Amino acid sequence: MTCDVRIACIGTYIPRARVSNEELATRFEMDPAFLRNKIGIAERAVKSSTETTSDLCVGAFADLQRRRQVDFDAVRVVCVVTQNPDRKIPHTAAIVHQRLGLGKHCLTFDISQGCAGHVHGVAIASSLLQSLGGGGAALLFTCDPYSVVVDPTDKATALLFGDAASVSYLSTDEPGYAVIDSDFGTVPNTWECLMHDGHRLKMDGRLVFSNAAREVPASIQRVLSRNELTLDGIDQFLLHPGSKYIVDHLRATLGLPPEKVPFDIAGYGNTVSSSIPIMLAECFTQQRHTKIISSGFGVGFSWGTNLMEFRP
Amino acid sequence: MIRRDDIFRLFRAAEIGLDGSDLDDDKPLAAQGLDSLDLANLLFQIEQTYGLTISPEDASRLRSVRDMVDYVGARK
Repeated sequence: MTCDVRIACIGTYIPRARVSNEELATRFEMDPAFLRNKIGIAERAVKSSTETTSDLCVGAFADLQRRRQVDFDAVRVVCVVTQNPDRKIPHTAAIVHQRLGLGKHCLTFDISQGCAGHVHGVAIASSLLQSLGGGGAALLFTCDPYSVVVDPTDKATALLFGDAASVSYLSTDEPGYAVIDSDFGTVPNTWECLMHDGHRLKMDGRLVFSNAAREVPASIQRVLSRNELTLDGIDQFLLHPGSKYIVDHLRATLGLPPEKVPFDIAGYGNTVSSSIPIMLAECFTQQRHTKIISSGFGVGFSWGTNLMEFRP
Repeated sequence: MIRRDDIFRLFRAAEIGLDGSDLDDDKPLAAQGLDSLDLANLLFQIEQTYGLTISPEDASRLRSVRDMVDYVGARK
């Protein structure tokens, strides 16, 4: 898929409040070295009990407006990637649309996806904006505040997740990262590896690990092969930081140097669908990466890989 | 036929820093210093090397080196 739509800017919102993992790890009788070197998360960002998913999205939009001007009349698509909507009905994108004061001729929808959500969302919103014709912009939000679904006594999940939101501004006529190619998939018979059982989040960490270890490197290699590229030709690999262990494992499997694979979530945690756009926002700040691969994986078990190129 | 040394070769593939000669084959690996992530990685290496898919139920029973040797031997 060659697409003229580009991610022109990203706004992010990470709540200020933090909860340290140290005390919880002690309660779980966990070795501090395991927490530091394998989980890699010292503290988690946690929203206030009254903040909603749409509140966090509006916070990300405020950050976007600090970074660039937004022409409200140009926005034709609003999409929220979340599995923790404000309400069952309506879709959270409609609530965000109203809160931002956007106009009538705007397509709004949610995508139910998790840690691969931004990869899915960028590919879908790019294709959609292109197919609508006539130019314009899309706002792609991600927000999954897992603090509302995680059981704080569950050793498998309580130390991992942080709350955050992002908004990617997709435009048809501005410089930015364009999706060159994508690869998606869902492994049959695996949806129970990460699920909400009606009361809390449940995760089979081994299944998530084995599926990621098997599918993500293969997905990246497929995209590279289709585009006659090698790993050396990619400037940055944004691999979903589920934990330090999985990122280290994927990096070693692919034989990538550490400087090409950021892992910088020690201060706020695994923010699910917001983890990749938070890293991509940093790429805009640094302005030195032309070709980027983003790869998300998790709930489903689903994965998604985007090959992106900066186009002036 | 799979032997204990085959499992220890997978320790190295998984970059698990435990020496096989120090391990008791019958004792749970978790009680001998293997953490949950290393164990997940070891089971993944078994799946990849022997072309198996290990179910959650089976995984919960694979605690020691002997468990793993017997399991792979029975499935191959």
